[in-house]
Amino acid sequence: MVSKIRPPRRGLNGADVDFHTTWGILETAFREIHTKNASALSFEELYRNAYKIVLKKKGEELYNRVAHFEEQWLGTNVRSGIVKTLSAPLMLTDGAGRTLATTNERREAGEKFLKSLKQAWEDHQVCMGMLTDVLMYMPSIFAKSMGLFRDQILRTPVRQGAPTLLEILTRIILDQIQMDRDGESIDQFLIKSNVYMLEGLYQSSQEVEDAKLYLKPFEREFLRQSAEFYRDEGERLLKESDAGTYCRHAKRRIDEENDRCRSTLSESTTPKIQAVVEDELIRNKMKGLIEMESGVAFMVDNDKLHELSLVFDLEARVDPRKPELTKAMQKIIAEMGTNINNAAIAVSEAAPQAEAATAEEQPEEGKSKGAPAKAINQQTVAALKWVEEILTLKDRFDNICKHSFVSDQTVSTAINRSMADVINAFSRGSEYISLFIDDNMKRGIKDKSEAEVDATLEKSILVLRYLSDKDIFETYYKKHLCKRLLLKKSQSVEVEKQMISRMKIELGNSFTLKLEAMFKDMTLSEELSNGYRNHVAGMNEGANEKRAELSIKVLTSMTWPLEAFRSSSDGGEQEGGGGRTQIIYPASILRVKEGFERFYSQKYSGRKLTWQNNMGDADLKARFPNSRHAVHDVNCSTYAMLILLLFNELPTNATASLEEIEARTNIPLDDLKRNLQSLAVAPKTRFLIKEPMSRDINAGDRFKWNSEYNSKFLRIKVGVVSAGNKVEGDRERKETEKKNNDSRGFAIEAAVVRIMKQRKELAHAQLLTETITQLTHQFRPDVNMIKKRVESLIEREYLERIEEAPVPSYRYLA
Amino acid sequence: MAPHYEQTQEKGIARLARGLSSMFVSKNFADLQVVLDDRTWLVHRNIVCCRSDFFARACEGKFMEGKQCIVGLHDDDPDVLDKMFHYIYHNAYDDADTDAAPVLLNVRMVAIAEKYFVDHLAHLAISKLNYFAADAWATQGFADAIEEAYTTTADCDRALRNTLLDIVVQHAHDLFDSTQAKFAHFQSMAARTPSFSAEVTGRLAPPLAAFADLGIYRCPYKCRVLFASSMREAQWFNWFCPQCAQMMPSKSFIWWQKHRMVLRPSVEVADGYGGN
Repeated sequence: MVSKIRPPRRGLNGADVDFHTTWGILETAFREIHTKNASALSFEELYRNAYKIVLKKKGEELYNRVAHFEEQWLGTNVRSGIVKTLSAPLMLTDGAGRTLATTNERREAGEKFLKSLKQAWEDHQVCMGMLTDVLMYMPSIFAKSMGLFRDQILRTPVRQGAPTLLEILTRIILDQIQMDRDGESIDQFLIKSNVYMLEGLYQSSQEVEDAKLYLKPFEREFLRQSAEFYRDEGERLLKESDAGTYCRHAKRRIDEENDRCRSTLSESTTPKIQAVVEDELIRNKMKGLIEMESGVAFMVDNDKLHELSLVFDLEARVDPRKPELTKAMQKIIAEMGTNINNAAIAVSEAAPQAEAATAEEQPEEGKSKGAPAKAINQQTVAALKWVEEILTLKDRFDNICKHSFVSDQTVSTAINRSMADVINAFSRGSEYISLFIDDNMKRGIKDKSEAEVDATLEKSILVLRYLSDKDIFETYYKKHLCKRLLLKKSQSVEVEKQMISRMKIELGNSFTLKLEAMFKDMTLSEELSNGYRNHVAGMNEGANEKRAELSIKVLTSMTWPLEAFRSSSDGGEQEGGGGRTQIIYPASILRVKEGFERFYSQKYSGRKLTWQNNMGDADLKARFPNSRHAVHDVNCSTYAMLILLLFNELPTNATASLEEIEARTNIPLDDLKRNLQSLAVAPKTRFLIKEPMSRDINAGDRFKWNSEYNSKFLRIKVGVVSAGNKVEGDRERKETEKKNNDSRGFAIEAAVVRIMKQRKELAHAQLLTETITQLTHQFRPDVNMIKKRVESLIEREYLERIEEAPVPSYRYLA
Repeated sequence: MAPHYEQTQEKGIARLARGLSSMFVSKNFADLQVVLDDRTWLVHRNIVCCRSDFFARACEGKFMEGKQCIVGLHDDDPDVLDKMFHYIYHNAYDDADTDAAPVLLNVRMVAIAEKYFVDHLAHLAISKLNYFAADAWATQGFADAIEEAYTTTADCDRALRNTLLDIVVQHAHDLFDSTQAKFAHFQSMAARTPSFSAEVTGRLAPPLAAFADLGIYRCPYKCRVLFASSMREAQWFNWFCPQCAQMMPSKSFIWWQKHRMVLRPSVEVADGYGGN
């Protein structure tokens, strides 16, 4: 097919296009479009006319005409329609910008306004879409028309001096949101449509993305008003409700605002309003909330774990470190801990007071036997109570931490630190933990299952873990262990060993070294005793059946805290006196003693045995002519045995004075007095008769064998009056402290020398840090003490100061 | 594997294109009438609307056309319109089957492409125009084409105008030579079409400042014709020599520097007196 191309068609060139006629056609059509009568219009016709105008280079004029047309249309037709919906309930405002009408009236009137504005906006969008289509050949009028809508509808005052529609819109939306917050239902979608409009409009013709109409006047106002609302609400709630309700409410409010942003406003506001609510309901109120009457202390007291978790969640939202909650928990622990500590001291002091009272009442009679026993119990009771309560406290807060604080690292660390503070603030902590273990070893674990024993041991370790002065604990533990072993008070050596191995894991090898040595001594002694028995049996078989048997404990001298056995009165004197007096043994005993010494030196040459008579005991067979039993089995101390043997050698009715007994036995006077008290005063074991008969043993008292002794028991145990106290008296405690300080001094010196030997030269501050680091697993060294020890090392020329150093430094002198 | 896959896909696309093209003839499922004077085209809304914004908006439904499925056109050349529809369905049109000069026909295709926002048609038409104009610049058809371009398309359409201007400027010495009678038709067209004349003048007498960012280069082929280019560093530039009709495909700015002419300043700057 060949077709002809015609020459240019002048008609198309449109030399005859008349702008005014053409614009007339377009304007009429635009009016039809705005009044929704577009379906009768021909798109092609409108397009063609606009196209022609543009070809005729009149595009700009057309653009201005369209803009002007829109401006007129919006300003007159559209705006007046919206303004008409502004009824009285919306315009009568009080000072605060809220209208005076009832909520319901306001809501209905507001919805009417919102609807008409929404409609106008949507119509405008549709019309402008159509106009843009028709004016396809012209630069887009769309953006311009949006600005026109903003200026003509939203930014023009309703009338002279009245607010603009944008201000009214903002006020109405905020009012409706307030209704929503107060629990009334509102048309969320209607508001959202208006928010869409604000989000679609820019503040100026430079369409900057962050200068949307929604952000600047609206959102700012929304956030401001919300902050005000939540500030007031928070304060009111703190006054009116309890902390649990507050937490639940705050949580609900945050969720509500999130939902509101999704359903009613814009999701871009979510983080901002959340920050506002968090600030006003949480961050600024956290302290108040925690300190409320029904606050955290109340929750802890009443085990309100769920509510505590609410508090935790709230604060975790605003600060990952949870400072207020942490602080509150630490305070509560400190308070509860102090109460426990004070209660323990009160319990422990109840007894000495009672004792003091009896002592005052009966100064002549002297100490009753009951009072010290009670005192011992009292201290143990206090220790048990303290440990149990500390453990309960720990359990309680562990439980809270686990269930309420999702085992949060920060909070649990703080709680642990407070626990440690509580335990270390208690001056008798080390002693009481040791006492707790002591009591359990002696009585507590009796008849307990393995699991229960395990639990008890674990408990001890738990508390021990917090203790910083582990060296003091070691001292006490050694003392207590020593007594348990020597006096065979321990229920189970197996459990004792378990305890040691646990300590080894927890506190390290060096800590348990000496404790383990004690066990080794015990085992060796057992073997020695058996070996000696066999040795004797083999040596003079059947020669002397009456020969006394010996069971011996050979103790390594530095390992055992033997001073624990010294009675409170003579401890100092003996040490001051230097060397102990030589006990005079009767021949039968001396033979055994020397026999063993020979036996021992054969096995271990070069070792010296020192006999600790004050700690031994003896089993005797005693005959009393008038007693129910022909022979009694008597168990008594070694000293008591010596005294009784002495009377064995005297004629039946002979008497001996205190001084005579002392001279013939060389028993230290104090021990002698106490043993005589047991033998001549205590009614059940009165093997001797004292003259004059009184409670106290005084110089010049005379004693003789009690031939009238009678007892229904076959086995008789002679107790010794206060043979070593379980718990220390004040004096003893001071002594322990002094000893402890000394040993700490040695530890510090050793550490300093170790460090300096390695480093040769070191700055003072660095030396301090390193020393402290080395020693922390034993105890918390006192800086002053370290300084003193360093001074002393300098005096003894282990170290010297480096004169020319810029910072104080030391040099090691080899 | 991959080449095979690609081949298969290409074949598929070719078949799709063939299928769409066949509908232009068969009129199956045609659902839109386009009426111009006494002629009617039966076309498919889906195809026409996706290639032309004008038809898309006209058929959207808010206006009469959308309701009636009839679009009435006015002032258009039915043959050109026919070629436009042919292009819409085939991605091609025939410019050799007319009596009119192909240059003129292609200008009309550009004009209609722009009027009805037909996707990519203007590009095709301009490149065809370029092809024909090299030989046709002296003809009456070329002059008609220019006149039509300047009266039936919008000022803002620079692509068409620049194409035409480039050709005119190359041959300006002849075309505007009033002593050669054979170019009288051209000169009278220029007189009738002031907006064209104005632009040619602008091209022939570029303001001095325009040279500031232009470099003068020689054709890298033996003709050594001079030309100006505003190419910049990091740009690539391809050169089609109007003199020797050779093509230098895309070369880098650096490459072109060896063909650049160094313009010496006409006045030597005297040294300051007194030496140093």
